[in-house]
Amino acid sequence: MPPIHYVSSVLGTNVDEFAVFALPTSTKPGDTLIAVIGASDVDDGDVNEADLAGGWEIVGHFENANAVMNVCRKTFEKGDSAEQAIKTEAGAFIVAALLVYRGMSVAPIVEGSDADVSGSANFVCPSRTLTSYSDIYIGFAFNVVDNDYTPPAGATERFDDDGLTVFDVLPEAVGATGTKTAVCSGVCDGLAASIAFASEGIRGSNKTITITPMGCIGLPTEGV
Amino acid sequence: MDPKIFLRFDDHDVAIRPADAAGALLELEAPSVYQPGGVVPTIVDGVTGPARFFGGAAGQHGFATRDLVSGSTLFNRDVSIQAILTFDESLASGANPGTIIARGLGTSAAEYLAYALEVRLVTASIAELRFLWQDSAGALKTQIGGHFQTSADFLLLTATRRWVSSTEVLLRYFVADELIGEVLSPDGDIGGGTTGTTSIGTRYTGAAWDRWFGGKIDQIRVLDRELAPEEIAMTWDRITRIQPNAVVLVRECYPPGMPISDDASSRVQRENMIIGNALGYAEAQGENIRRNIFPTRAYGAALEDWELVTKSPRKLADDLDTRRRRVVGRFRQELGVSVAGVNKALEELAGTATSNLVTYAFSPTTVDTWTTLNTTRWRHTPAAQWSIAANALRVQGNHGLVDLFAWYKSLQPIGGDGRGALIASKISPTAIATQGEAGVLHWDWPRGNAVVLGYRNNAGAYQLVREEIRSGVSQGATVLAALGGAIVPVWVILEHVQGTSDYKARWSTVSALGPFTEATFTTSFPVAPVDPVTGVIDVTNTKPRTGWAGFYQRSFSGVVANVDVSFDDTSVRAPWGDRAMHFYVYRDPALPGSPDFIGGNLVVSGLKHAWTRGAFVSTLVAKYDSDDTTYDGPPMGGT
Repeated sequence: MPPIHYVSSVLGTNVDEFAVFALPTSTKPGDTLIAVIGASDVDDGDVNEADLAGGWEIVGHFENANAVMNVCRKTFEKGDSAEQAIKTEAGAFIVAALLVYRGMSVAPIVEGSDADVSGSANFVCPSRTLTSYSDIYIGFAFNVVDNDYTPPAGATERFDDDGLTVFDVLPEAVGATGTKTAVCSGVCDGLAASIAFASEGIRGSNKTITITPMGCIGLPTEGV
Repeated sequence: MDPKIFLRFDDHDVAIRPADAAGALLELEAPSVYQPGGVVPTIVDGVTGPARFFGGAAGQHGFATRDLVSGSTLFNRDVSIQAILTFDESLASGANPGTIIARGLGTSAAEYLAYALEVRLVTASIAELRFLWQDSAGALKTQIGGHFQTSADFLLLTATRRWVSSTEVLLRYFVADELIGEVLSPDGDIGGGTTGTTSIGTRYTGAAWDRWFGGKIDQIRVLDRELAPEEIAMTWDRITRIQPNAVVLVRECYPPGMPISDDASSRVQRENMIIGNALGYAEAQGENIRRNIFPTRAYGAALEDWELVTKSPRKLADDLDTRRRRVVGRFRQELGVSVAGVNKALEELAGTATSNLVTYAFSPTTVDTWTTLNTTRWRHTPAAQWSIAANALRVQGNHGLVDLFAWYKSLQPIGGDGRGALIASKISPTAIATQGEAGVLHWDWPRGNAVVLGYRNNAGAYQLVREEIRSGVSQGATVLAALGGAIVPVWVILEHVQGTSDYKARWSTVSALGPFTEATFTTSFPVAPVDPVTGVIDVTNTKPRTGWAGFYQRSFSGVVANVDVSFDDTSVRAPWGDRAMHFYVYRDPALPGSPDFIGGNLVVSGLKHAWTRGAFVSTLVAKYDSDDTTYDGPPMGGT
């Protein structure tokens, strides 16, 4: 399959404790929805896995004393609603973003973790060890004071609003990616996290044409 | 011939310039004929016969040519490229991809790349097949490709491009019969010019030939349409299974022990191969029909036949998936014309879950409780005089207007045929000065004909009257009931009696449930129309031409009178009106997905009842055009 590639993103709204997202019209069945919800209240802005429905799962839960960020994932299926909602503990989240990716595997994530940021403008997202050449590195940085970011060199920023930024890198290499630093517009506290997602499998190799007998016309001029 | 370019590379002598079997290109030359650099590839064995060897950046092998007729290979919309080749990793030069084929030198508008296909080594054993082109301004647009595992053997690689719009292009990549990538690209602005130099194994990057391909190319074909995945799979199956099996079958027909050569190059074995491959080719065509005859998998002539049978004509811009969905949609009508049936039939074409579709099916009866001022279905004139008060429709005016067309009126259309039309409402006057009147009416606007049932103040005596107005002229009012000297609310019903010229008036001063007093009266309607062609007066026409029903407020004598009246609990029924014949299936345009509204409306028009109007819509604003009105308006009236 192609390397995982980004399709679109939207900002979510707060409706009765739910982070609600209107899916981009370019979303197609089979696409992966990545929802990122950031809150300053570790309890009331959190996402409880038991509250998730409709195929959503938490693939990253990151928190420190002053902030919590949840990364949720779901595969968009034919027949799913164009509006997706994720329940939070008391609706006290600051920002909710939804990103649509294509070509992402439904398998468990490769790996993910976070790092605290305290009194710094550098949000250093941890290194990830990729196991396939089509794996993608997605970095997340969140602060509660609504500062925005400059993405790391070589990364493509996909979302930056309300103190949350999401960027991705496709190294096309296996092994450690190294840390990726998103630079905040001001010194503050927050969370820097990264998750490596796997793409759908690479094909080929056993589907080759050995020498065919003479008379095979190969590619057709009409029909098959 | 289906392919527009077909390069077989079956030459046995390197001095022979390869020809395009499709006849679109001039003979292939060394790239140096067109721009400095590059040499002709050498001849090697392929899998279908001779092939050409391209030695990557070290060998700088390639071909270049131009159109026999300028512009004949300018494919800047749909295109499919299919090749039998090997990709030699050892010849791949670092980050530089190897070009399979490119159309355009990229140097000017006449030479902008309309398409190019290249293979890039990502890492050991993993390569990427990807499209690229230039837009109309010459900007290079390199597309996301499909990753695949490499092999030393020959591969069948296919890349298809479906142009959807100037901001959407669907790209698919295949290795053998497997889809290795499906990418939606926003780069729908695709350039290219009539000159367009085509190159094989290399691409001119503006200053020199570069992007040298490393490997063997046996055959390449280019089509100006999107190859269906089913076609690609069948071609793969024919080449790798059906034809080889047929050759084995022929060989096994010889009696055991018969002394024939096993040498593949011997005449007998070559004859076996030819016969076997011919049989296998025929079998493959039949197998293709068997597998891909159904509309969900059909393409080419088979799909065209389905479209003919189901009356789902295609437009040139319709892609394969759209065409298939329309044909399938026409078949999914087993639930008939019900909400569930219509939604089921639109399942493939709506591009969203059927639960996201909203069906508006209109009944011949409307009910208004007047909690808000409805201005889409009702037309209030003058608008300022009509309002909502205490959950009722209130009109207030102090004037001496007697002209039917000048009365204060609130009307809704009841379609072109007023047979059996009925209006029921509560009339609650606050004040009706002497000579003032308010009530309900049926009205044929263009002709100025009306039948009214009114609550009037006749010199201090409140009366219920009925009146016929023809061509704007009163035919005289008849008192139906005396209501006394004080205002009382009254519930009224005015109904046309079907099949006659009669109207029935009913009224109750007790409640909406009656008891009702009724009176039937005969009108002069229909006024026998004059046949404009023969001049014959049609006295058999019993169809009243009422187009509107509603409320009015007037001075019946011309004396200025203050009339302040409210109407409530209103029902209007038009059993023969157009409203009941309309239904709409609404799909919110903000929903994700790719709906096919043309196909959806073909399905709806195919399965709806005769004399009804159905539509698959993305807007809730529609126009209504009745034979009996002189202008278009929203379907339920209003302005």
